[in-house]
Amino acid sequence: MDDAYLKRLVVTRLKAIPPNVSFSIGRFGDFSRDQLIQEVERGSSVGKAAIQLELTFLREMPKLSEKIGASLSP
Amino acid sequence: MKAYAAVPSKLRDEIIALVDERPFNWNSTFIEVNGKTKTGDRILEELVSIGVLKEA
Amino acid sequence: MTKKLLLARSDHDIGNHYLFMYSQEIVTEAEARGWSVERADNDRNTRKSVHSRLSNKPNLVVLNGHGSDDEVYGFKDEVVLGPYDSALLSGCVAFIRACASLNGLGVRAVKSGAKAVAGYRGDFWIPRIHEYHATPLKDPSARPVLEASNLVPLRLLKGASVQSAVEASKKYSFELISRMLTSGEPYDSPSVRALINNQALLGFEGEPTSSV
Repeated sequence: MDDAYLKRLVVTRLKAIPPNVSFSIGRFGDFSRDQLIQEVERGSSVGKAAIQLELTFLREMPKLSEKIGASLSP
Repeated sequence: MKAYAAVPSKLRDEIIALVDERPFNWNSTFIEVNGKTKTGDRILEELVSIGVLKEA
Repeated sequence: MTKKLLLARSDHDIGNHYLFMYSQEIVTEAEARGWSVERADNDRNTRKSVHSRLSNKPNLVVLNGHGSDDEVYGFKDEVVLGPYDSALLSGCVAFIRACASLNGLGVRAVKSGAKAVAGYRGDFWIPRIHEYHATPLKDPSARPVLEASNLVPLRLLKGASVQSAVEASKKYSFELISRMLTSGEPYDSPSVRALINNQALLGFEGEPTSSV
């Protein structure tokens, strides 16, 4: 996996989040959208956690319909 | 195609790939792949490389 | 015999403040069901105080805070439960809302006699909108994420097994995601991210049929 490409992709995705949103990320603390982008660019631990979150989200997208369907069935 | 169909419509605007720094979402990816463009091929490569799609 | 809930929470940073406020729903539900509720809030959410309260053998323990594989942090991030404290949860069902603590502490607690521990195997994310920092309960980005998480202890209070409580939370997460995918709200995207992440990390250790 190309780390530089992942960083660019995740930064692009994060920029689509409204700027007045922050994330409290467990043991790492609280980060605004722009702070999170900086952490991704720096390659810090919290930046890597953000990349992992985005990867999880991306990989889940094609499976969501099935999972939602299963959750909504009686 | 199967993956695109499975993505809920509101998420189809989510950026999923960059090619030459140009962002592509599910919708624009579908257009490129359907049109059998080189860009479409590159997008698919990137999606396989990050585990969003499985290699065909 | 009256059942006992021990709930620990702090208010010293914004993440903990959100957990503090959303935990009130758990307290309210327990009291409405006639439980005896012991709250270890803020400067009572310390190692000494929580250990002392655990010696009363509550039926359900809910711990909120930052965490790691082997530790749960309380007020001002003091270690409340560490790698050698897992036996303190013996006989209890616990819900530990602290990052990654299910991996180490949760496993050890069950081996040391806890009936079951539900929690998270990685980083728990809470999205929030800046304008709501003083009114977290109204934050439309945080609310679905913490409602889904709260479902675990709320179901446990109602007598559900740990497995069904965890499954209910995951199922509810997908119901919320489904609603968001058909709404026009701009702040849904951070919530969907957090819900997908948190429900994937939610799990339990111990006997699946364990209940309070």
